[in-house]
Order: sequence, then structure tokens, then C-alpha cells
Amino acid sequence: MALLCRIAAACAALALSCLAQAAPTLVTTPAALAANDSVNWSQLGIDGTTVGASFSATSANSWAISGALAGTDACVSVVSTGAVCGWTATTGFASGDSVIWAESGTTFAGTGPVTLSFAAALGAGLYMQASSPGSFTASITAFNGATNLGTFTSTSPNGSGLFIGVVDTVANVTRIQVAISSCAPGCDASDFAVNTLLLKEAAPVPELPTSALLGLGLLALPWVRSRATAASPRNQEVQA
Amino acid sequence: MNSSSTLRLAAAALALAGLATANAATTRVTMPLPVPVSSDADLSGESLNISPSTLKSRSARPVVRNLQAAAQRRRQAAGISEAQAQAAAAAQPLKIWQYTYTSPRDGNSYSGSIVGSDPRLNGARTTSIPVLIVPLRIAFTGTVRTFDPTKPDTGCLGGVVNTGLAQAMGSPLFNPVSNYTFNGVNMGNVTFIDGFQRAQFWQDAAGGPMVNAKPAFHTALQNTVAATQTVTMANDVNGSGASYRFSGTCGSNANSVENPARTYAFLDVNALDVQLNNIITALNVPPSTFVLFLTYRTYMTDGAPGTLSGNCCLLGYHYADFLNPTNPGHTYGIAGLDIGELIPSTYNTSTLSHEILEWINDPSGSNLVPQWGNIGQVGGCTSTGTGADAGQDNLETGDPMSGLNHAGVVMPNGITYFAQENAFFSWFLGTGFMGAGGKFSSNGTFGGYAKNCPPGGTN
Repeated sequence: MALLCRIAAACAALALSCLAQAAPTLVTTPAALAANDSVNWSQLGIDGTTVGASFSATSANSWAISGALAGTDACVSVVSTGAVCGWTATTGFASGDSVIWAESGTTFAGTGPVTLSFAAALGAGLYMQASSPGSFTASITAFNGATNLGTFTSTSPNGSGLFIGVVDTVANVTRIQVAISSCAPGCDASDFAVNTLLLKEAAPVPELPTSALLGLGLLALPWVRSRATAASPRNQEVQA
Repeated sequence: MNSSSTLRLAAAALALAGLATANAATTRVTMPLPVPVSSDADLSGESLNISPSTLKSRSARPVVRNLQAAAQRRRQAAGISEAQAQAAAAAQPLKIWQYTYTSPRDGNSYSGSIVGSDPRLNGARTTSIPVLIVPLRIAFTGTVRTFDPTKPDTGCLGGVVNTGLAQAMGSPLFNPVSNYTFNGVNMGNVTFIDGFQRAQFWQDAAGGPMVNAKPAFHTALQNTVAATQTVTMANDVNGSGASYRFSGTCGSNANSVENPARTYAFLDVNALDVQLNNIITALNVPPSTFVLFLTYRTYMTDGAPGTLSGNCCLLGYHYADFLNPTNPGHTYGIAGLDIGELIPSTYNTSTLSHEILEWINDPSGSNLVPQWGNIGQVGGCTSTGTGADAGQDNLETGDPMSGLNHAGVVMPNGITYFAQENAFFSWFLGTGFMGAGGKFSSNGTFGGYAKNCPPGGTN
């Protein structure tokens, strides 16, 4: 009985340890995120395709992605070459990239923030840029379900595109929301573009209950056998 | 900043003759006015036999100052404060963007607004601006004459596209032209208006990428043609308007039908402006829509037309409710299809292109720039002041280039169209952008920015 209590305590400590590590941190480069999946927005349509207040996409690893904007008529914008919805090439925005431009084609007002939801991931990030020229500060908020895991900011001093993301040690992030928290005087902070979503997904592993039970069972077998032997002379006799 | 800020309105007076240097104060032609002897007398100007060569321009600035004052009086009479009027206008605003630059011409900072989307934004798309084109029919009573852009004038316009409205609507102002070039640079499949805006914002001031890297940046006029509106007035040279006949000009219509041969209407702009505002109100046009009144064989004078001396002539003007770049309120303009025989150097869409581009680039008429002058239709160029010889201090793209046109463009209707050359943003401020081809005007005439007053002119 005392041993079972010790095992339970160890498991509890392990769980607490896991929770203590479940705090995402800011990453400002794709290398720091070390993503193993991506979501290319070209799948939403060609240059100028309207992007509604909610939309869905699929990652290269076939993860389902759902997105949300604060307006109904943003567009798919093609960097440099887009003849309907264009975007200027900049850091992280290469010619030909398909990005989501969070601006209403009707009112010309921004339709940010951009919210992207997915299965629990180790991290997520993307390149983004304000439409207005000049310095801007971007923000990213990570969520696990409804739980806010934290908000982080990063500043582009010269207005070029910047990468912003979060990474965790456990697959804990199910949603990110990106926005512009400040920009040059007179700019529309909700008017910006986001490039390809990068995801860091946990590698597939055996399910915890099966492996844990198997391991515990194997470890416990000698102890059970010794206890049974000590407690039962008959068995000892039989076995002899 | 000079002290002429009270005279920032944007009327575009085009000289009828001697566009570059005409000065109304020194070139008045004195001719006796006809004396009405009875109510049956012909009070029109058709018997005066005025030669077009005697007609001179006058400064538009006092004219539009009076228009502004009159509009304020009308609002006051209606019990509407300026603050109330501006608040109402702001509810459905015209799509404009703001700029602020320090001009190397004088070291001062200048701010203003331009119609469309900011070319400096990283995102680019077509910005559609609603435009209501209102055919304006002028109907004189007494000596009955009617001038109507929707009625034929085969003797002047030919037999195929024979109305002023049809010719205007078939022009490059409202229809795209493939591979439209400005200063030798291809702007793509654009209208003249769109192409001009792309050309003047082609690169940043340092020659870096701007619109040249944004194929999606376009300014599109979303045109709707309204039902013809009629302004009726007595045909009276001493009144609000009269008809005049000129020798040597075209036409074959009889006096009894619209657009009589060799005959033109001249209207007192002050009286006409009241009528235009009444029409805008009656049509319930929101401030987000530019109203373009389209006339035919119709010009304007400051005051009663009389002998057309000293007070003449305005071929068109554009105007706004308020001298407020951030909230101009209703914006509107008036111009006609140029016939080209009465007025030298104005061919079909010269005046229309002048007024539309001026409206786009200075919708409130109060985009201040360093003083410029002694060029185009703007005579004089003092360093300060608001007199007729002071020059001009606003971003009126057409005024420094009146009388200069782009090469003709043949459209699918078979007509060759001419648009007026306009000055780029960079000509006025000397900074901000670099125009297509490194030029400072749309057809390459200006190779540098404006010279300060005095003496004015261009680099």
C-alpha cells in the first residue's frame, strides 16, 4: 500500500512538472520555431479571392485549420504580382507568396485581428506586416481552448515584415490570434497581412495509458511473484 | 506658409485665349452693353458679334472665394452651423488619404488629402470612387436657346457619336486603354485618370519602389449617368446668363432646336453654383460620390456675362462644401465636352480631364503648397498675397499646364481624344514621389519642380 502511494505521488509530481513547463515563449524566427508543418493560403483562391469572416484550410500534414477575421471581405493577396489584391515584397513576403490581407474591399477598413485554430501543437507562427508604412508592433496571443496562455509582442522598427510565433514544450497551443498593437500615427492597426502559417507539431508517440500500464505491469511482476511466494507455502510446495 | 490661405479654393479657370500670360486686370475689352428698350428686346449676346480673340481669362480665386462665402451664407440662412454641416458630411465620407511632407522648396510642412487609396500602403487594390455624371441642360427663356449634352450636334461632332455626353462617355477618361503610356512608361490597362495617378506616384522620392511595384494600385471612377437636369434662366446679358454667337465656329442646328449652330451659353458662375447645389440636394447625393456636371457649349463668367470682358471665362471648376482637407463634404465639378473651335488648345476632353484630376488631387481645394505661378493659366507670382497677380498656393494639377495636351488616343468609337497634361504632386512640393520617367508632369513637359515666387515658372 505504501508503495502505491509513492507511485501516485511521483505521478502527481510529474504532472505538476509538465504543467509548469506548459508556458509558451515568443519566437521571432522560423528557425526558432522549428516548424514541421505549414498552411499555404494559396489554397483559399487566386489573387483577389474574398476571404470571409470565417474560413478553413488544410495544412501540408492534413491538419484542419479554421480562421476568423473581424470583417467579411478581406482578400487573398499575391505579393508583388497580384493585379487585384497586391502586397509589397518585404522580409518574409516573397514575390508570388499568397497572403491574407485583412482589409475590407468595401470599406477599406482593416479586418484584423486574425485568429487561427488547430489541433494542439507545440507552437505556431507566421510573418506579418502592417499595411501602413513605418514602424509597427505586432502581437500574438496563444490559447489552449479558452485558456489564454499569454500574449507576446515584437516590433518592426522600419516597417518591414516580421516573424512572430510561440513555442511550447508540450503540445498545448490550439489557437493563436495575431494583431498589430501599435503602428505609425494615422495608421489602421487592424489592416495588415499574414503569410504562411507555420506549425510545430509533436511527433507521433504511443498512447500514454497503454505504454504506462505495460511498463508498470512488467516492473511490478517480480514484486508480485516474490510477495506471492512468501505468503503461500503451498504454492512454494507446488512449485517445488 | 503664406497668408493666402483664405483663398485656397480650387476652381480651375481656363483661359479662352492667351492662356499662359493672360491677366484680366490689364486686358479688359470694353464694349458697350446693349440697352434693353422693351420686354421684347433681344437681351441675348448674339448680336454683339464678339470675336473669340478678344476673350481673356480672369483669376478663378476671387470667384471661388465668393462661392464659398455664398455657401456659408446659405447654410447660415438654413440654420445649419458649420460644425453641424461638417459632422453630417463626415457620416458618408469621400474616400481620401492624408499626407504630410516638408517641401524642399521652402522648408515648410504641408498636409493635404487626395482621393483614392494611399499609394504608400503595402497593400494595393483598385479603389472605386462613385461618380455621378449629371448632364446639365441650360434652357434660356426670352430668346429661347437650349444647350444640352444629350442632344445631337452633328454639325460639330459628326454623325456617329453626335452628343456631348456620348463623346465624353466614350473617352479614355472613363474607359481603359491598353498599354497606356505616360512619359514613355507603360501604366497598363488603365483610364487616363487611373494612369495619371499611377504615373505621379510611380516611385518614391529617392527612386525606390512605389506604385511601379504595385500592379494592383488603381483609382477607378465608378460612373453612373443621372437623368438630365435643367437650369432655366432668362436669356439676358445683364442677368444670370445669356447666349452668344461667334463667327467661324461649327454647327448646323437651327435656333429652334438644342445646341444651335455657332452659339454658346455663358452663365454667371455665382448664380449657377446655387443651382448646382440645389441639384445635388434634390438628387440626395452622399458626400462619398463626386458629382460631375456635364455641359455642352456652356462656359462661365464672374457676374453677369455682359460683353464677356474682364469677367470671362471659366471653362469649368471644381468645388467642395468645406475648405477642410480631412472632410471636404460634397465635392463636385462642372465642365463640358470641348468643341475645340471657339477655345484654342482645348479638344474634347481637355477641360474634363483638367477638372477631374484637380478634384482627385485637391478635393477640398485647400491642399496647400508653396506659392507658384507665372505658368499655365496662372499669371503673376508674388511670394505672398492673394491678388490676381499673386500666383497660386494649392495643389491644382491642371492650372500650371492649361493649353498643353497629351497626344491623341483613338478609342473604339473612332474618335481621337485629347486630355490635358497635368502636373505631378512632385512638381508642387518637390518631394514625396518621383513621377514616371523621372518627370514632373504627365507628358514630360516639366523636367523639374516649380520655382518659388517670384519669379515662378518651372525648373
